[in-house]
Amino acid sequence: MKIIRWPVLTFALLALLTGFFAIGQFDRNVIRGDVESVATEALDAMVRVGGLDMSVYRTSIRLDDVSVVDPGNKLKDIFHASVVDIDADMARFFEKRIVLRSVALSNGYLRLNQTEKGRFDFLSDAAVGGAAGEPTLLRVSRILSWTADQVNPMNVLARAPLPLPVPAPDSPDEVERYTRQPPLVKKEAEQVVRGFRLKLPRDYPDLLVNALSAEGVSIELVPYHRGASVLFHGLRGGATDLSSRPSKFPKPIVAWLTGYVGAGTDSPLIAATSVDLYGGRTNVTVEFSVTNVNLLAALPFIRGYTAYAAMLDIQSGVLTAHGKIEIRDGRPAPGSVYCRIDGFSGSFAALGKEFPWLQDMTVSDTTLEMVVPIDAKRPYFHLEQAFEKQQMRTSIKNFKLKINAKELGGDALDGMLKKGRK
Amino acid sequence: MKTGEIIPWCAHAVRKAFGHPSAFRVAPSIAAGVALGVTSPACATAFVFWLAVILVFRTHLRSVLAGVLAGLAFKPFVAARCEAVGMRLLRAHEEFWREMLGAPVICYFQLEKARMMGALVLSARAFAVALVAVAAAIICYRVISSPRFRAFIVSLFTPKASA
Repeated sequence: MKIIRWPVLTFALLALLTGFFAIGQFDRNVIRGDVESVATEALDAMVRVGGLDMSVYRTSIRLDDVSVVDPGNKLKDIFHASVVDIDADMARFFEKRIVLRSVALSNGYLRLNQTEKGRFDFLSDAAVGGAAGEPTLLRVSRILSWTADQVNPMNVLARAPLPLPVPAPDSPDEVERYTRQPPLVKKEAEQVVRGFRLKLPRDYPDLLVNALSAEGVSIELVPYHRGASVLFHGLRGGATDLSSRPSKFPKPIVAWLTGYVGAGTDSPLIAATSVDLYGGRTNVTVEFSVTNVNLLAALPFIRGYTAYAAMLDIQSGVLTAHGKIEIRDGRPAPGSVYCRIDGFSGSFAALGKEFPWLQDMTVSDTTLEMVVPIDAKRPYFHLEQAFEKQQMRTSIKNFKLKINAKELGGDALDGMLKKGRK
Repeated sequence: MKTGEIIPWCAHAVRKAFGHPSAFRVAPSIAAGVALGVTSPACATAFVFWLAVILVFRTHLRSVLAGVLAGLAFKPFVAARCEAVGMRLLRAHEEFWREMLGAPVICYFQLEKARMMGALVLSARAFAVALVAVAAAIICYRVISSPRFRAFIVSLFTPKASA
């Protein structure tokens, strides 16, 4: 006796296969529209996708001319990429996870805005304000979790909310969403948590990118304080093991970057970093090297971190720096950064309150070389220790110092002379 | 219409409406229809499960429709109890369900939600009850409508001729 309706089963499987084939071959415009609308809603910024090419069998997606329009200024993009190639792992889909084996981005542009606290944010101030102060990392993580949840085919039918029993007016704790169910079998009232959900162990991230690579990318940094933006161009780099829950993934994020700083200049930049956030720890290592960076271009950004930058009246200078910065368990580890400023011209007048003898000092075309210690005490970079430990060397060519001993008093030169006597 | 013709007439009307499916098809068809009827489409897992059962197995669609109509009558009572039943089951064996519901593919069914789990359990219970009830009704009908049973009943009221 036949039990199963084989024609229906065959038809259902055929329809499924045809659907997969149709998605891959004919329905790209519909999917492109969906990608645009979902991304626009999630980011609060208009997202445009020029073209989409996807293969269900190879689980790969290729997006052409992807751009995100700045909500604060509709004429500008905050992100643009000519080509984004994504290769996904289909097997992980059955675990309700999105695992991307590789993401390759080429000819991209990204604009990052410095915030008042010195962080660099993807969205403009207007969009960040619209997000009600939610940190970008948290927001992105929430968006990714939401996206992973949306791929559940069961959710297609579950759109309509189930009518729930009206809570009793004398509900004991409305805040915790407790309500009384009408007694059906038992006579006594039964207390039921509405919307109860068993917490499943999610010891893995919802989204994992095994390898991210980028080539020919430009990043524009916009300072919070008044000043011109800085363009990092010709960037080439990569990152491994980026995940939406780094505290649940044992491998650290490793990233590297090479490129040039400043539009139309050849100031090379090399950086490598390792970020380990597994199990709640925060271990970060950054090694960097920049050569011949225009100091004036960097000043607007430095103002966000130290008051000295605003106090010094710097007219010119070229910065070369390299070093290793380590954060162990959330605290900066002792270390040092080598800095060298060539062709430095500036005035120290604003430092006159702390060092009276510097009040009328100006230098020009000077070389300043120092090893700045780093430790866990604020402001972390200790210029004053570099002075004290004499980890500083200078070659002053044009030096001008006006001293009016009558005005400054008898101990005006103490700061200089004490050093000389030792 | 004579009293003795009522049962054959009902049988004829049922056959006219439902065709000539076998009892093995009618019982599970009505039961699956009831299960589908008591389940809300919002409880997608249970709804899809019973829909798949109806489509894939050799169910009799007119019986399914009758079952759905019967199930819809009980739907408000079942929907109000889903949350409580699901929560009680999930809390009774939390470790087991955590391990089971986090597994690949099963994680899509959202049975960790008390409402979904309750809907599946209650609709399965409705299926079982309906299956037993319909099977019992069919057996009774078969027995009552058989000529031998009628002859037996008639013989009970017919005085035996004395030898």
